[in-house]
Amino acid sequence: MIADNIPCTNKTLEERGLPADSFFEVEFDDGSSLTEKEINWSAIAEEMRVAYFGATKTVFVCKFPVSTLWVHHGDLRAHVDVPSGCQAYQAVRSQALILDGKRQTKILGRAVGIIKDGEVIEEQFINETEHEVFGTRK
Amino acid sequence: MLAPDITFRRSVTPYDVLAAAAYVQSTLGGNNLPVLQGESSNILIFRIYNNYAAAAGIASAVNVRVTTFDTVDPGSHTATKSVSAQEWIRVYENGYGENATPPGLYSRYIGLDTAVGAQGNFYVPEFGSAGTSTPQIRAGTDTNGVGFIEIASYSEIPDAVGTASYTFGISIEYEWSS
Repeated sequence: MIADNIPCTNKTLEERGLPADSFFEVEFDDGSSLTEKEINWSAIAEEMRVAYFGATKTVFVCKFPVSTLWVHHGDLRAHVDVPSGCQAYQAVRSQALILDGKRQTKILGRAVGIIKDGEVIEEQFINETEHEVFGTRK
Repeated sequence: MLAPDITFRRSVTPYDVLAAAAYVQSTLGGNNLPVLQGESSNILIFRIYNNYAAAAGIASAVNVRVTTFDTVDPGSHTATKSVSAQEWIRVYENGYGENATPPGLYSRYIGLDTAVGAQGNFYVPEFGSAGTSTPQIRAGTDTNGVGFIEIASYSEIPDAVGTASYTFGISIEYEWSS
């Protein structure tokens, strides 16, 4: 099984800078599954520059065949069902700011999407600020 | 990987942490004078570092974009006065670099002068810390050094906006994964 060969992390979500209720959950084509509580995304992903709805962006795509990828953030969740021949990615979106003598870093939400032939064809974004899931599909 | 450690710092040694984006002007009569309606500020140059402390296991910040902060915080002038929506703040890339601890040397690059603020008006740096045309700030936990991009910014105040005092925030958005 794919999941059996992925090295686990020894750090909690919080130690990695994530809230306890913000994580991904991946189900591979062979039926095995893992969550971010057990592994880092970097253990199964590689960097790729892709076309993104008229622009380009950097994504970290899973190196293994994925059937479904969920992202959970607070009480919201989003997922993509990954068609054959496509790849999946997910990421945390954060903001760092300086304002009036104060500095702050916060997580804005999480994104999950599908790549086909080097192009994003679908992306779901959990927007913590607006408390909504926003989707874009080609 | 651990979350990126983003800090705004001055562009000259010892690269102190920047507490605020303070826009002032130098003109006849002195330095550090307020920027009045119809005037532009001096250029404020700062760096955005990822993992300045060179800690192990920090993730790179990718898909970086810069804007002025707009908040619903009732204490924020940027919200109550719609300053950011009026695009009074302009930014452009002034350089980038990595491969030194603390990273000091940089490659000069003058990006496109861009008005930021309002929904969707971000500045995407043309070059990332590694000198490639991908807007990312690498963390220096692989074989690369601690990364930064250097940003130049100034305020451009329209005529007839009155004499109130405004506070601006500078923010960057970025993506990362564990």
